[in-house]
Amino acid sequence: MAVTWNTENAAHLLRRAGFAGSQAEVADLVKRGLEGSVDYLLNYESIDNSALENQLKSEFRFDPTELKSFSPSEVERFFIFRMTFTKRPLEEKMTFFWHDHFATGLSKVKDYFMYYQNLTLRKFALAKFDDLVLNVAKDPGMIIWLDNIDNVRGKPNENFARELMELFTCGVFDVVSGQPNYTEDDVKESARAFTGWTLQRQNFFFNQNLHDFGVKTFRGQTGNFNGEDIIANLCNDNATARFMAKKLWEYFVYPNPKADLIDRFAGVYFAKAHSIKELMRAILTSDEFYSDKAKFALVKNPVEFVVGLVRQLGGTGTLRLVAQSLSLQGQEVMDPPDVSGWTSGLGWVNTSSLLERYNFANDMLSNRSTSKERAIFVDVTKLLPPADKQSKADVVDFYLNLMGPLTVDNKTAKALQNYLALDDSGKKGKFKLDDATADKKIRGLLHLIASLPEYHLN
Amino acid sequence: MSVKLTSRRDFLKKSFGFVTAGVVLPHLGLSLFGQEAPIFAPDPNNRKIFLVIQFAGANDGLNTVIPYTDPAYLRARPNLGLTDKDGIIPISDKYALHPQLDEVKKLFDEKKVAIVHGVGYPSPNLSHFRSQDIWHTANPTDISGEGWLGKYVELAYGRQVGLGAVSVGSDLPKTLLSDTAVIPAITSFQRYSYQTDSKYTADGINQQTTFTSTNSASGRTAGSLAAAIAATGTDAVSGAKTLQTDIAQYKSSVTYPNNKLAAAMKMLAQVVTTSTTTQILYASLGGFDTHSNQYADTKTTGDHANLLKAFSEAVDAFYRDMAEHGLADKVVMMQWSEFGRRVNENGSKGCDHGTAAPMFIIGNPIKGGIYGDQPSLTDLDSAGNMKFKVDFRSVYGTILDKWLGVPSAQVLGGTFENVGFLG
Repeated sequence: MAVTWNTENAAHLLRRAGFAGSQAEVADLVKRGLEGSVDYLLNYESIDNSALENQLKSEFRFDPTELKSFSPSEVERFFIFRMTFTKRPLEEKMTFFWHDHFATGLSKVKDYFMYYQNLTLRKFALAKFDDLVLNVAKDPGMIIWLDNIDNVRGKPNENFARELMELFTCGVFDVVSGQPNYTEDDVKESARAFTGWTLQRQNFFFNQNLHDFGVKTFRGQTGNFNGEDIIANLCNDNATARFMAKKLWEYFVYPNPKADLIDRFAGVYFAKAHSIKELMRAILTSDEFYSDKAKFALVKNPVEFVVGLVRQLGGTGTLRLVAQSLSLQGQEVMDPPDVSGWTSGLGWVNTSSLLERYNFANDMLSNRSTSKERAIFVDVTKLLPPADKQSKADVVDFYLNLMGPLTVDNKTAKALQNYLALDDSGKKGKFKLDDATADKKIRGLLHLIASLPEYHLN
Repeated sequence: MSVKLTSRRDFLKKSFGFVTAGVVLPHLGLSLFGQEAPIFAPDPNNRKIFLVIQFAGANDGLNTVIPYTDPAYLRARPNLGLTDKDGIIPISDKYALHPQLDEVKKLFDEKKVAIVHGVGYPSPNLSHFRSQDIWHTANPTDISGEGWLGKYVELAYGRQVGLGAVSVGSDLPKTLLSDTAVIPAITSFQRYSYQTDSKYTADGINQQTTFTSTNSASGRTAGSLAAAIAATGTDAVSGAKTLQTDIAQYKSSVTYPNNKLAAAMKMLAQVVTTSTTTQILYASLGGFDTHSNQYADTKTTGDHANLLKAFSEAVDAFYRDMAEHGLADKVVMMQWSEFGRRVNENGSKGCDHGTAAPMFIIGNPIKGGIYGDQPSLTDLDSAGNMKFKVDFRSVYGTILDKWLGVPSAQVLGGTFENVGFLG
């Protein structure tokens, strides 16, 4: 089955493999074709991102030799800033996915270590999975987060070893067969293999004196295993291939893939030597990815909602206070609730999180100041429909396309059209698009579209 | 009813397949399938308020209610163990409370605190997330369903919960997940309303009415994600109006301590004292996963001590606030955590995942005292953990039967022994 390459599919790809974008960005992908678009997004090293890098240099003055130059709120803003203004959407989307997967947080880990972990996640975002896991395991953020710094010979600390299996690689149970992937003894034995993985002057350090060089029995094999051996064992396991194929699929495509689909992509993992990049290519070019079952089958997480809204409307600004709103929406960037990461699907939807989403959109759309102090500025005069398409129905259609394209039922579309014509006493008047109505009604309409349930689907 | 819900869940799985490991089942607000009318409507003249306090991360039960006269305790915990010298607070010839639980001790002396020992469940799971889900759903074998209090809320309120149950926090805890009822989760009162452009206040009313008409679910497929979001959004916006009107009435002379749990419990107090329909409350405190540095320079300072202090002070403030509002006889509080911690300390001034742990049930309606015995510290399971004595569903069941007044089997799917703290 060939996928028809059009605006709808390109916008879908950009929402999933990035954080949505302007109509110009979508049009650019339409021109590139399906394979070409996926290739463009995956080979992000060749996309010029110097504008962002320059902005980051002037916005953030992090100095590796001066740890006090970091702060938790600035490290959060740094990541949000990158996601919002990058020209390499998939690079940031993957980094954000791995941040959720290897969920580490400011609640326990210092700001500068969170910053460095973020660089590590970005660097290995599409690497061989083994390399990603190993580099995250040795990164100071993780050493502290899961207490490996205290994991020493004779007194093992199981925290990292357990989560490495439960959350980072194979999972407690095989996601296809339902069989347990490891025992409590495997947790204890692998913890011994990671003894002595610690820090020295803010860097990874293998302390031989604290390492248990004894023989361990791990998942049926016996040997003098160290941490590298454990990671290699896990990354070469079919249970891990299945676990990661399912997890990526559910994050990027739709929930609950069938067993044969999981095994198809687990097969890609092995056929492509554990390459995340090739696994992602297979996912993003699959027919299923563009199927009706996949379209709007996910609920936007708060970052997808916020970053997507800013990108679609061409917002600019310092993004100060954005992290705070994200936190009220349930997703404090750089501080996931615990090592299992964030929720998904309707787990994002509760009364508080929805009100905060609506209010974030309102704050952003009712701000008319370009002052540095204000978080985000949207210039609605640059977002107006063409002069010959300014009837109520045309205007509503124009913005539903800009924000999606979104499909809504007739009643909803009519209610939005009706809003454009309501006067201050709530009576139906005439609608004419001029500067005054743009400032009032177009901002209001965008707020209302951002409050539609359809807008919160991805 | 349970048949209906089960079949709808199956329907949802087929349609969307929401259910993923450790993740949430939706509340959908579908009148088509849901329980419309309440079955056990709470009586506003005889309120039975129930506050759940979750300790997330697995609380070290052995250092909370300390078996201080058992020599095995200090043998297993030569560094981590607490003794007289650390100021532990004896409550019997066998048990003492952590030195930071002063306020809880005071309530215990007034016979308002039940301590249930050795709570757990068969074949314990040592994963935080799975075990939390087991407690949330009250189901050790299938964690995909609704929360146990979500089920209760459906029975008590039907689909229209309003402010009948309220949780504080940016996530709705799985305990309160319901397939049909939208239960509010509140993070901040200040942001809890549908705000519009302050430059055009009159047009704001137009936006409110348009929001309501565009979010009315009639045009959306029943059971779809969009319908679920629309239902929650509509309930949020209308519920927020009621809430703001209610909480404006709150007055209290009680000063809450400065900690996250107390802040959450103060918000709950603001709701429960001003909205007469509110019955179920939920707050949680995280940070109990003390694999390392459970204590600081002294045994009575550091992470675990701070958490227990926060709990003790928050409970005290909330209790006094309820008393001031004439509600002290109407409130039961229940503390839980997904499991306890290993008997033996580890080498990092902490301890690893364990099994059974004590629970606190607090309030005037409670028959205070110690229920059950501490599990043996030496007769351990193959993983080196204690063998539980009381199934946590017995605690839930006691509360459902003897406090909330709903036959517990309708919520728990089975009957469990009455623990006795409510008679």
